[in-house]
Amino acid sequence: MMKQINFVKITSSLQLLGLTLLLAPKLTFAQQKIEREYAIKATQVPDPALEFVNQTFDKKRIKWYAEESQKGRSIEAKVKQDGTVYSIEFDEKGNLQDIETLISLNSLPQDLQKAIMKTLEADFTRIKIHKMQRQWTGNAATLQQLASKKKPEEDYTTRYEIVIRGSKDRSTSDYEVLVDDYGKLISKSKIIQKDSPHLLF
Amino acid sequence: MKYYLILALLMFVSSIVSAQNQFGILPVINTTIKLPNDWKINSKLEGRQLLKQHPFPVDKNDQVFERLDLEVVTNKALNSSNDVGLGYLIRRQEGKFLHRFIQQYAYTQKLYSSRLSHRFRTDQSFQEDEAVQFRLRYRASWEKPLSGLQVDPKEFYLKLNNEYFGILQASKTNMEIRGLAVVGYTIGENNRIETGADYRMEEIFTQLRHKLFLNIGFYHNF
Repeated sequence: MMKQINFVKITSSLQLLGLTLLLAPKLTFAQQKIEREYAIKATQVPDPALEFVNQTFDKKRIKWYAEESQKGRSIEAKVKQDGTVYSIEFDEKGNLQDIETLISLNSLPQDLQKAIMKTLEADFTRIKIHKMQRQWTGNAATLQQLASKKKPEEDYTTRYEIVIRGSKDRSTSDYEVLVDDYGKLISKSKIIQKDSPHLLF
Repeated sequence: MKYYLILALLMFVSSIVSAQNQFGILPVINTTIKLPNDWKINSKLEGRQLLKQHPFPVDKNDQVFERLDLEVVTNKALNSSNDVGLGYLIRRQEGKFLHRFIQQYAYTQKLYSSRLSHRFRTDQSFQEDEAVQFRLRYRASWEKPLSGLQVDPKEFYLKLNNEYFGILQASKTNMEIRGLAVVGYTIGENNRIETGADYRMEEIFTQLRHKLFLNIGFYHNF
C-alpha cells in the first residue's frame, strides 16, 4: 500500500513539473544575431562576381551562396581547385571583397607559426585549432593573380582567420580570431553555437 | 530506375506493415529552457497512437493510444561540442507507470555542410511487477541543410538517426535498432517542426518485431 501511495505522489509531482516546464513563461536572454546563408544559382549572381570567378577558376566546380546579416547581403563563391578550397566574397553588387583559402598552421613559415601561437596563448589555455583561412584583400587584378598562383604586381593584405576552441577564465568555448601576417591580434569574437535539441534529445 | 526504387520502397513498407508488427503515429512536443552558464532543461512529451497491428490483437482493438511519455533532461554544455545530461522519464501504458532514470553524454561535430551528433545513453527502468531493465544506447544523428551550408531560420533540412540498444533485464539480454528519417523546417529562431518515418526493430534476440511510425515533432526553445 505504501509503495502505491509513493508512486502516486511521485507521479503527480512529476506530471506537475512537466506541465510547468512546458507552459513556463518565456524567459528573456540576450539574443545573438543570426546570419542567414543559402545556396543560389549562378543566374542570381551579379555579373562582375560571375565574371571574376569564371575567369579565375574552373567553372564546373563553383558553388554560389548568399549571406544575409545586419551588415546587408553578400555573395560568396566556393571553389575547390588543385586541392585548395577558395571562398571568394563579394558585396551585393558583385564587387570583390576578399579571397580566403583553407590552410593548416603547419603550412606557414615557422616564425609566423610561433607568432600566431604566442598571440593565441596570451589569451587562451588548452588551444585547439579547428579551422584556419588565409584572407587576401586588394584590388581584383592582384587577387586574381594570387588565386592563379602568379606573382602579383601590386600590394595586397594578408590576414589569417582562425577558428579555435580555447579555455579562458575556466570556461571553454569556440572563438574566431583574426591576426595579421606577423601573427598580431586584430580581433577576436566568441562563436555562439546554434541550439540542437533535435540532435541531443 | 526511379520506378524500381519506388516499387522497392513500397514493398519494404508493405512487408513491415504486414509482418509481426505495428504501424502508428508518434507525436512529439519538445521544449528547451535555457539557463545561465550553459545549463538547459529539455522536456519531451511523446505519445504513441497505434493504427494497425499484426497479428490482430485479441481484444480486436488495433487502433489504440498505446502510451504517453514525459521526459525531462537537465543538460550542461561543457563546450560547443560536448554535453552531459541527467534525466527522468515517466510513462503511462496499459494503466501502469514506468519510471526511468537517464544519463547521457553527447558529442557534436560541425562538418563542412552538416552536423553529426553522437549520443551515448544509459538508463534504468522501474515498473511494478517487473525486473529492473538496464539499457545502453548509442545514437548517431546527422543534420543536413537542404539549402546552403548550415540550417538557418525558415529553411528545410534533412535529419537521419540511427540508434542501437543493448538491453539487460532479469539476466536476459536483448537488442533493439532504430532508424529515423525526417524532413525538418525551422519556423523561426526558436521553433522547428519535423516529420518522417521512424522504424524500429525490437526484441531482436527473442521475438523480433518491426514497428513503423509516422513521426511528427515540434520543438520550441524558451
